[in-house]
Amino acid sequence: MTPMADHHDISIARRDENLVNAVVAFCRLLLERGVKLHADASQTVMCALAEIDITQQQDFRNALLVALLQRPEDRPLFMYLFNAFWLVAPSRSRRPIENALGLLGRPLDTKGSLQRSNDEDQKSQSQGTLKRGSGSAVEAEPESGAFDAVHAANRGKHISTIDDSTDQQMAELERLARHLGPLLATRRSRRRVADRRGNFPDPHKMLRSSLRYGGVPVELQRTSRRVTRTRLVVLCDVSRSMDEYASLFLQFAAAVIRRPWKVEVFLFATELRRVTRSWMHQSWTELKRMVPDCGGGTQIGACVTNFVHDYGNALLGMRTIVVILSDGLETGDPAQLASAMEQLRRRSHAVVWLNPLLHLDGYEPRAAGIAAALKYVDLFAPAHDIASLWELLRELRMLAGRGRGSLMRQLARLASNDFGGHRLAGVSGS
Amino acid sequence: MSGAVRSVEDVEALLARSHYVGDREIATAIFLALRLHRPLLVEGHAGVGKTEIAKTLAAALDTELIRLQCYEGLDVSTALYEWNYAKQILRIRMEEQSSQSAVEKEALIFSEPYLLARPLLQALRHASASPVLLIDEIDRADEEFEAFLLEVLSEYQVTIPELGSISAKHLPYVVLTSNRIRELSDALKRRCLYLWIDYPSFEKELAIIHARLPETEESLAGQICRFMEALREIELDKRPGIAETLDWGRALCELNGTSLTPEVIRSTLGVVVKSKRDIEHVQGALPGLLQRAVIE
Repeated sequence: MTPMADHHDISIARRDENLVNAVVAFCRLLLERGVKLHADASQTVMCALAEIDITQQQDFRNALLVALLQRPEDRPLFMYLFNAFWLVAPSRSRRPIENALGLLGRPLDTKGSLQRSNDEDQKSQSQGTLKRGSGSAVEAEPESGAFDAVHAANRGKHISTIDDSTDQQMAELERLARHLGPLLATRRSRRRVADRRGNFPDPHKMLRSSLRYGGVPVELQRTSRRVTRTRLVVLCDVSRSMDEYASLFLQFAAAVIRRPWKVEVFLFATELRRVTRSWMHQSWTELKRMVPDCGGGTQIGACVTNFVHDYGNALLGMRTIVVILSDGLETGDPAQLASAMEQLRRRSHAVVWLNPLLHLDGYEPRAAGIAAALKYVDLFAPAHDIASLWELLRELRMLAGRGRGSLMRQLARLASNDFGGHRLAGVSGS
Repeated sequence: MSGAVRSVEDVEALLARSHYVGDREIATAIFLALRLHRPLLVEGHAGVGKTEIAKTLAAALDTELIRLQCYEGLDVSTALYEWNYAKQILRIRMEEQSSQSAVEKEALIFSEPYLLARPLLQALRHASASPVLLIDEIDRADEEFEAFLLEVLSEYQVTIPELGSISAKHLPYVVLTSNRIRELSDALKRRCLYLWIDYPSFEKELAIIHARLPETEESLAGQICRFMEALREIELDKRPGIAETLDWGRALCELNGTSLTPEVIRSTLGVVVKSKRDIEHVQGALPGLLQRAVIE
């Protein structure tokens, strides 16, 4: 927690009207910087402030925290902004509102750097790997030379199918996205719904209907378990080696996000970014500009580890299928990737690895990174054109509907020997 | 009841009396929840004392704690109310020969004596004072249940079709806890005050051990806290919370430990970390951890 000097005074406490204005301005500032707030946040704050002694700085801050914040991720940013907004030293005493307006006006890149510095405090463990340049990576990975050769020889081959986002292609992707939902709806929930052909009796309904016959339960009323959707988590590699290939899939992901299916999308190269919310209401042309230009190598291992750590509890589970789109050209430590993939596998229903290079002639997943990861992958498939995406949908349905028992057996088999040819369209045997 | 609580200091005093070691932020959150009569949503890692807040609050206010443990598939009949079907059927049989009309019979069996009140209804109907309603691990329940809960939490009123609306005589103090297994809906969060409890600082953890395990020796308590502090810095699948610290302290007291040694730690490690991978991890890092714990 940031230590606060006592001589700093909450100068707006003097007059109520000022306080209201300042609180509203502060909420606006938080919103602008990406802190999640309720619609009636400032109202809640005012109720809370009425109850406490606002001349006590710590209580004042705690009250704001309790009334405003909704996610622990926002905490460091909140603390920073709180200090910047409320704790202006009296010597430089600009009034808080002007202060806020000053902060509001600043361009967005300040926010980016601000968040990054906060993140760094929290994730010091991953810093070491993050700083490594792509130069050392080539040494670390002897196979990548051959890999690059395949890459280069096939450059341009895909362009006719991916590059331009024509209306026709968009329509096709929308169609794909529409189909995805029902395909994933294969899980039986514990929750019951009334169903004439269900397997469970419904005592409540039976008693009600029995009253018609003087208490004799004549009609058997039934319920059945409802069908729910499997969640899909997409981790998409946007590093430079992927930028020609990822666009089609990103477009697909963008189309899927706008549907009410349970889908979460993350982008990664050297660091991981969750984009589900920010993508929700954007068109593809706007999104194309938002995909960060990530030079340098891909830290798949570090990114997947971060994902499991930061989002694992919320998003992973036995109803989640994880889809990773990457060429598997890992510049980090292959061992870290392997352990991250193992965790991912253990904590999800299935893991799918899409490799857009898979359809290229002469490509074999031999790079150390991907070789390590493949052991924990249920489905290894290409994703370079619309047809392969349709194929993916079919496979996803199989995976979603499959029990975990058979999965574990397959995993054991996989772990024990080779994959019997690298271009397996799917390891699923159901 | 909240009339007795006039300032944050009062809450701190209440917590201290119930041996709950909380910081100013927790006290402020509880104070505001009491004064504004808003539900308090407590999030944090497993074992940092989320559930404990509700228990302490109930003890401190000297009122009843009503607990609703959430799980997937939790529905209205287990959370709110259910009719006692067996009793209803028996009653219908008994009334078979009577001259009552069907309407009268229906009114008879759908009345108070045939109603099984579940936690939410119990909390709303509490006769004497505002109870503390603990809705534990709300993230385990599904979205539909959350939506239902919204009605209860905003109006403190429920509707039973056969009996009509029932509104609370004494508004319950509601504490919701969540482990963030899934993100809760915005609508629910909007109605709540939010409190995030992090892993404790060294001083706080030490104070907790003193409050909860007074029989622990001073030097051992310090070592335990330093060890836990170091342990939480290494990368584990599941980092230990305060609950684990207390369990460990209790275990060490049972073994009459006075100081941490590699042997003692190895034999009791299962109390602190609970997966094979983590145990291997900790054993690998043990010399470093021990050094940090014992030195000073």
